[in-house]
Amino acid sequence: MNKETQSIVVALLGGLLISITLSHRFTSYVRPGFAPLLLIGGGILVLVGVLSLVLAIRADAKKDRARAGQKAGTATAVATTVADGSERPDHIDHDYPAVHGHPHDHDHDKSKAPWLLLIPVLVLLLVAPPALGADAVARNANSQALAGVDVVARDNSTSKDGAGGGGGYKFNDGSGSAADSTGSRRTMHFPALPAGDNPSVGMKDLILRALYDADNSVEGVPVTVTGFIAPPGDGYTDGYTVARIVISCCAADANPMQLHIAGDPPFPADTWVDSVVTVVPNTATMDNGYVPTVTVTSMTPVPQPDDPYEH
Amino acid sequence: MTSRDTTGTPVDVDPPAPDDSLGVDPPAPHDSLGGEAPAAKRGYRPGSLELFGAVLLLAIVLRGPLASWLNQPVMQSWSTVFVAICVQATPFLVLGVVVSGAIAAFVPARVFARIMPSSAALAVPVATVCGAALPGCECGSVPISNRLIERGVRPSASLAFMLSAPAINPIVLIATAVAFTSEPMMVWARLAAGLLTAVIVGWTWERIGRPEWMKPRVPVAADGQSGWRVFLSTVLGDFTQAAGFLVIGAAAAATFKTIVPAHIMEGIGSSLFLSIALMAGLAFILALCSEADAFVAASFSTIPVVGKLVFLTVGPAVDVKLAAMQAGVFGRKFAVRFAPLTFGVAVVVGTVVGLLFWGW
Repeated sequence: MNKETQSIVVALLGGLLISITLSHRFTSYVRPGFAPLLLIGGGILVLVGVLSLVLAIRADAKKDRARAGQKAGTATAVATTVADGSERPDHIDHDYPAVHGHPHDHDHDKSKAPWLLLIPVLVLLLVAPPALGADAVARNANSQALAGVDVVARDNSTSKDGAGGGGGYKFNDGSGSAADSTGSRRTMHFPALPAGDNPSVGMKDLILRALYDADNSVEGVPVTVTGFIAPPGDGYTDGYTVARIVISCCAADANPMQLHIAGDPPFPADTWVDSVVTVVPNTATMDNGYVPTVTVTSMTPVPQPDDPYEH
Repeated sequence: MTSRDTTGTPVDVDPPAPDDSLGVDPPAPHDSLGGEAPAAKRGYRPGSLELFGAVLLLAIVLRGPLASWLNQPVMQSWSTVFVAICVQATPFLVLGVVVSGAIAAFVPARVFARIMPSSAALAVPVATVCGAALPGCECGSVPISNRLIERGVRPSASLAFMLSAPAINPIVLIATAVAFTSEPMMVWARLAAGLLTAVIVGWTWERIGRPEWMKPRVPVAADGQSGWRVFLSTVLGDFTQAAGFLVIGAAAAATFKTIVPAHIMEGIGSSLFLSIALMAGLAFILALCSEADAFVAASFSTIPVVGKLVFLTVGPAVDVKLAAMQAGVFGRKFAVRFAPLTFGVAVVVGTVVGLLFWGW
């Protein structure tokens, strides 16, 4: 790939990064905190691409003129030209490559690697992959026990009812279970639910409360969660799932969080819904990957949230 | 590019500059125009700009079939993860090539000669500790390391820097502390394992490394070129080269992420050695950014903490994306030797440090 094409591809990639950031499509791929990084990185790429393109075109024009001049009869002299000497004629001899013997010398960069850069550019430009959905849930479902508990424990450390300064039980002991070795349920403390009827809670928060809350704050209490319809998880043969995917950096580290619901799904897979649900106690077990069952009071389709993932 | 301006007035000036100011590869040596084949005899060969246009045109024409192919659920998950890795890594790669370009353009080789100890035994640890100063993830440190070698820094020290920067820089350590709130020792264990891995690989490379394994490095700075032109051409060349291989790595990681079922983790936690092997393998194929891998490691609920440390030690040092980028930047002969060496050292160091910190 020659310099001109490289410059164009790099500027294109930079422009795309800026465009997906400004249009908020980037939240399908990375967490929202990446916005400034993408804008700065994209801006630098656009700048580098445009400046390199200008320089490459100028250098080319210069070469062509010199070659033309050579044909015109001054071939014995090693020549560059002042055809575009209107810009900084004092620098021209140093800054611009003089003509060299390669008729192809703007093609001399033989590396094929830059061509690969076109793949993400084209995928972004032409198909714009959507946020991970039901397929990824089925594919990446894992035990929900303890996943992300460390983060909750940290969030909890500011609350008053945390047990000890760390705000909770030290969970990651390698057993991967919501029960400890004696079979009793592990618990930790959570902040009080928001006030009002059917308070909104995050999917991860709800599941962790269902599994670990010593105060049983969601037991028998209807809450509102946002998620999308997905097939039932492991250990369930019927029903369906309302799921939300948790990412910590980008979609490559996706970790699905699911609630099981009995019955036929009222909407097709990947439909985003606001659901008012009540957790059925003691339904999350090792066999079903600690996916709790919930009963649904109401379910309304909603547009995909601005940030399709939780963090 | 191919226009012939026959009215241009040729003026005799200085001899040609020694290098193409925008070139990454140096043109073949030449002294004058005497040997140049007349343009007319060349015949038509499509240049890369034409090829680029053709690819774009083809993509636009085939957009419908392409989109419906990528619309299958599997391909959708794959392409989302693929794009996510590319999008996530690009800003850090940009940071890396900007630093690399600045080194090429504005830092003369003698600066490094002065600040780096001359003995390898000292240079490697010094470079390793310097890695703490680069707040990026692993993609950015590959072009920087290449540039340091070009500036005359010992390869072993530059490579130690490349390994340590993504593992022990402050941002990564803070992210680790946040992810492992309930395991505060993890930050220190990670720091120790990252430093040790970089130093041991650096020293080993000093003994066994051969210069001919690396592909010839391109001299960028020709005398008399203004700094910002060198900067620009280095940034462009380094970025397109490294990013091209990043794309290969991202595609491989997305493929693994899509086809390897997540439940292989379950039931393995009971065996320490099995979990270490599994975590080392996962770190290699998942190719996570070192600023995010701590959160992922923390969420592997069934894995013993030593396994998690191995994951955090192997991940920033070597993974499928890094191996691809190293093959692109340093050459394939280098990558097939360096990647297994790093992998082995990182697994052993991660395990030993983990056992020292947490016992059996």
